[in-house]
Amino acid sequence: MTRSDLDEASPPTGEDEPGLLPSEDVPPAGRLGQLVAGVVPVALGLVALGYSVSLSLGTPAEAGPGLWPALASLLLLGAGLWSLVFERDAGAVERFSRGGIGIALGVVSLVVFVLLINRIGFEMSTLLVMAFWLKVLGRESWLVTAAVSIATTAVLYLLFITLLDVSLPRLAF
Amino acid sequence: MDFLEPVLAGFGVVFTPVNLLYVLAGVVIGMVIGVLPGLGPVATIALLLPITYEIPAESAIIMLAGIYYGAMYGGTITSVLLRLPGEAATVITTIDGYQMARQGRAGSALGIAAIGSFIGGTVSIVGLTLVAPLLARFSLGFGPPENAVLAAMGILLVASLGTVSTAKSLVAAGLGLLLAAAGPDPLFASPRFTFGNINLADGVDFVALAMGLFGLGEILYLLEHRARNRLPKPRVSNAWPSRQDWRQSRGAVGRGSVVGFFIGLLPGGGGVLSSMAAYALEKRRSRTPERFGRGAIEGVAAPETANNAAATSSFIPLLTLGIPTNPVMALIFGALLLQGIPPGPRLINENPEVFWGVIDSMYVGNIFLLILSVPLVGIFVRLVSVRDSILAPIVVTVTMLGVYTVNNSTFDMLLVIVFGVVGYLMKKTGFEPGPLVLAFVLGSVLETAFRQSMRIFDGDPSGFVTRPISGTLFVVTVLALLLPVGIRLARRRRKAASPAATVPADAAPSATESADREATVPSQRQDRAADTPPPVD
Repeated sequence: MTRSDLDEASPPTGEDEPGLLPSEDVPPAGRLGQLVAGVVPVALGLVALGYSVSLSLGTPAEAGPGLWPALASLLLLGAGLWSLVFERDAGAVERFSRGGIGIALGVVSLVVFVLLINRIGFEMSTLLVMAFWLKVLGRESWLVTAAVSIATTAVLYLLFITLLDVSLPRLAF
Repeated sequence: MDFLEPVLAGFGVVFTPVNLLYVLAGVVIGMVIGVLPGLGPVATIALLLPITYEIPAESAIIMLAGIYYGAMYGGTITSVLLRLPGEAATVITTIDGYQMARQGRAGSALGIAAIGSFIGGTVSIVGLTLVAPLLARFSLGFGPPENAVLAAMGILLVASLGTVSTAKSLVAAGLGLLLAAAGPDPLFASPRFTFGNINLADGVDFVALAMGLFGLGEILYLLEHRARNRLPKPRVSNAWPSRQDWRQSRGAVGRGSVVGFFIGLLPGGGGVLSSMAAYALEKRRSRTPERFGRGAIEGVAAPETANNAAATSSFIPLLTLGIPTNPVMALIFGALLLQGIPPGPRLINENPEVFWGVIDSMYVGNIFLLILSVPLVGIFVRLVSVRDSILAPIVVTVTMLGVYTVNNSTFDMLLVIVFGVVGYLMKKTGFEPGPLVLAFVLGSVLETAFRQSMRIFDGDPSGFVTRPISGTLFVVTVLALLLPVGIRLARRRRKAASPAATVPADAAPSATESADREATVPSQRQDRAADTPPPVD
């Protein structure tokens, strides 16, 4: 792989995004990955268009509730098709690597966090999710894990409960 | 002098102890996150949206604005010292800034960046103070057709200017419009896209969308793209720029201010584009262009001045027309809406404390930045070593708890997770969340204006073109959309003529050249310059 190939593989970046930083290069996706990435917007556009039409379009002067979503779906569909047909450039889509497992675990832990928060309050749930991210996903030492998760929970408590006085589900006992 | 009266009243807002504290908090947070490579102003502002909901509107926006222009300066520090742009708008500064640091002139580079940022910011605020009221008065006469064309123009130009692929940005914009359409129909109130879910009856919550796409999505993406081995910490000589440094960069600062101010006004403009354009301009004007890439002080002064000027002037379209021109402005638009204050031409008369308070706070904020930046450099540099594995869980828990507090809803927390995954997948597959959020913010404005216009025109869309103001805006939009396409086609033809497009061994000039090129073709990749290795001495 030459230098310029690697450049092509780096993700697109825009205003204010940290994607410009040197990062471990994630290789571009294969044909299938690109095809999926290209087809999904088109499929979404078709589904949304069908649903919008079912809402009744009305006339241009007296638009029904479905006319505007239908136009938005057409934009999605058109741009999606254009990108699918003319812009199959290999660099844009990254391969889904083993790092994806960590991300999936992270997402699952957040769902568990949401389920827990109403049962045991935000303090314990925050502590648990912090510890999981630090120890399991971040491979930090036990000392760092304990220090950072306790400190963060305390600061969040001070910020949200003491300072801003907002209602979060609190510790049940 | 009744022109000055509201301006002075604005200073009255700023010079309350509480608001001075918010200015200070904003610029310090901005500098900190500008330094931290994983976190930009977009993610941070998205993260802080729930907190701003709890404080008065003017204080909230004052702080968010401070974060934005503070980040522009924070990013400079790591660009110069470590060749690590903490923030996209400072990528171009790495080219000459890092070379200066290697030659032991880091103090000069940081000093001139601070001074340039201050001057650029201030020039831009003066421009804002003068132009914004006029523009607001002019746009008060806009009817639904003008508003519709303006909003459409904002979305389309952002899609065409900001990224690699216009089509992919338009996909994101289409998705944003559809998400904005979810909830009650604005005219008939019949439910759309709610799928019988009571939590969606009022539509998708902006805070959940923004925090998911920009906050959580960014963190998930970061988890997979851990920053590579850190560079050794260089010595900072705390010398201020010498008189000769100043003489050399005076012109660059002046031109950078003007370039930045005007590019900041454009949809899709803002920090990144303006810094590139200012750098390219200096290099082209210079009698000794070969110095660029080897530690030319103008190469630091011009982009740093311009990105600050642009960060300031990009407030003009938002505060006067109600059109956000970049993702940060879209978030501030959302923050204003959360406070029940619709941004637009009426803002200046109906909420002068917000309008002038925010503008005047920037004068103060820039002074704070100038005072803070030099003595605190050492501390900020140390921040770079904060590991992503520690930063990520903190950001995530702040996001999740923060979004809950807005509506006391665990459903919104789940929405954040969903949009976080969507944002991650979008970045993975080359789509940008920016246009989506922008289109989402403008979606309901656009739909209402469009449907009212069609009613006025009795179903004939040609009315958009025949009305003088909306027609002019329409033509400008079409031209602006076609221009980059034309340039790209011309480039492709040129490239086809000379297929030897490999990176030459001497990489420094190629970095500056590519920066040069990209400044004229904004939709091109902006990360090349940062990625090119330093020259071999």
